[in-house]
Amino acid sequence: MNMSDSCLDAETLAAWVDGGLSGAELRMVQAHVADCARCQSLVGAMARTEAAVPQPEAPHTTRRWLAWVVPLAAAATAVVIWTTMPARNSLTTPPVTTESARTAVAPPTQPEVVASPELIPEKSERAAENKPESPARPQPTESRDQLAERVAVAPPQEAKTQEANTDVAAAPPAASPETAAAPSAARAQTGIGGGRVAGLLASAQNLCGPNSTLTPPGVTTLNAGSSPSPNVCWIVGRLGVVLLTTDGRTWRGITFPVMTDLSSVTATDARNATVVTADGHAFTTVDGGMTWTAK
Amino acid sequence: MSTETVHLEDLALARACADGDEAAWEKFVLTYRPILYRSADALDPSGRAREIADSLYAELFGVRGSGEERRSLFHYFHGRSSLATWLRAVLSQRYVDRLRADRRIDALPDDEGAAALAAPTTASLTPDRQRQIDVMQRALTSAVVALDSRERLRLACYYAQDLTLAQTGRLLGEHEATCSRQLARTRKALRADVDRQLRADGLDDRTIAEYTASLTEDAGTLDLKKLLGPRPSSSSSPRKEPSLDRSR
Repeated sequence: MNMSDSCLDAETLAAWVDGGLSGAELRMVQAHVADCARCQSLVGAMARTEAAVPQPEAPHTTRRWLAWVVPLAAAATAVVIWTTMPARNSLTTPPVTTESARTAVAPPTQPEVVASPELIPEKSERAAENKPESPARPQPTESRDQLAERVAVAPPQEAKTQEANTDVAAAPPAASPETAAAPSAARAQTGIGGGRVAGLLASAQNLCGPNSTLTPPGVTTLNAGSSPSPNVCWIVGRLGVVLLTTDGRTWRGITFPVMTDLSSVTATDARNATVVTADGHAFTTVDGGMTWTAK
Repeated sequence: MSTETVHLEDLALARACADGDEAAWEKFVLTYRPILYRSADALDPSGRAREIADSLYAELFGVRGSGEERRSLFHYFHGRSSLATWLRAVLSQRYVDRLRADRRIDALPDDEGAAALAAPTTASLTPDRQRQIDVMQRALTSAVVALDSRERLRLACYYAQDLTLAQTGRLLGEHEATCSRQLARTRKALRADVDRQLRADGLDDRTIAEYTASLTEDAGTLDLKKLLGPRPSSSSSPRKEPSLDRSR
């Protein structure tokens, strides 16, 4: 192919994007694209689709570096909160600080590597969940001893998340016994959470319909949901419909690999979930629905 | 080709799919269908690109009319990239070509319509302002034409196509920090070349500063994509000497 005259074919473009061109061919491709409006648009379109492909994990060195940074940041936050606490000499303090202190002294979680730009909002939203409540909200005061006691007995973040995990299965139990047993066990833990998932399920139900962009035509009911934390909820339905919210309000459709009816979902957070199909096959994702693995 | 990396696993999957192997198809659908659909949604959230993605399936399977030989699109994959990147490239190509075809159809209103559309823009500009834009566009076009291919490509990727520094750097085979430095250098060189041309046209420094400030505030009809698009042929190029001062 005379690259200076003709546009890039898909294979050459893909090889270039993957770093598979070199030497004279690379120079020819670059020279052609520099002067070709169509190929420049192609490059722009390719860049927009980059987030669709799961990114490999960041090098280990980055994670190690972050592992140092996270506890340091937590310690710095704790110092700042301590030094800026109002009425240091007083024995009373608003409980809002308790939440901040709990966040500060909680054991640092493993830093997450951003897999794709699509997931960045989720990270910020999850961080927002840990923000202290507004100081304007009237709260009873408590002594510093009480404060220290509450901080000391505050459960680790993971345990807290587990406590909030609630699943609701509106459909008949799935074939997989472990997954089918999960909803009732979770409901037994927290009745309030079960109500929350039911509410979210009801609100997500409104997303079905002929004009919906999240669900295919013909899907009128959603079957089951799992809410591992107050703002995160996974919901599944017919024809491979999987919906996820990370703020408790807005939903996005997750692409499921099989166009089949889904009967139950069990999630531990916004990234990890297991979905069971009506015919008993289980699929697991560890990256927020970007990729699925059949069990 | 001999020194290139061949994605053997993806190539084997593609060949098996092309031959109609059911297990291979199952793996392909499970792994690559979500990638294809997410790519389509990223290209066009309204669902238009999904139609193209769906039609790709038929071609990947090699559906033909009765009596015709089955020829799968997979036969065009030779493992020079990952299968995911190749699928994204095919999808992007189809999508861009459809957009361009639609634009060509849309861009054929009758002359009155075109004139009516263009009229408000032209009418809203004062003669002085129009002259400023014309002068600056001429100088800028000339300066951009004088850039070498790598510099034009870097500008096009970063400014016209909105790629990130990292993405732009990868296409040019350089680190994003290098890419950033080179972009800054090219901007400075462009500015110097434009100033030099304007001085040659008889403008003083105060007027040049005024023109530049005015254009910075409102680019008017200046279109960066057009500036960085096809380069005029040598004969029609106003000036070809690469006179940019690269030392700064």
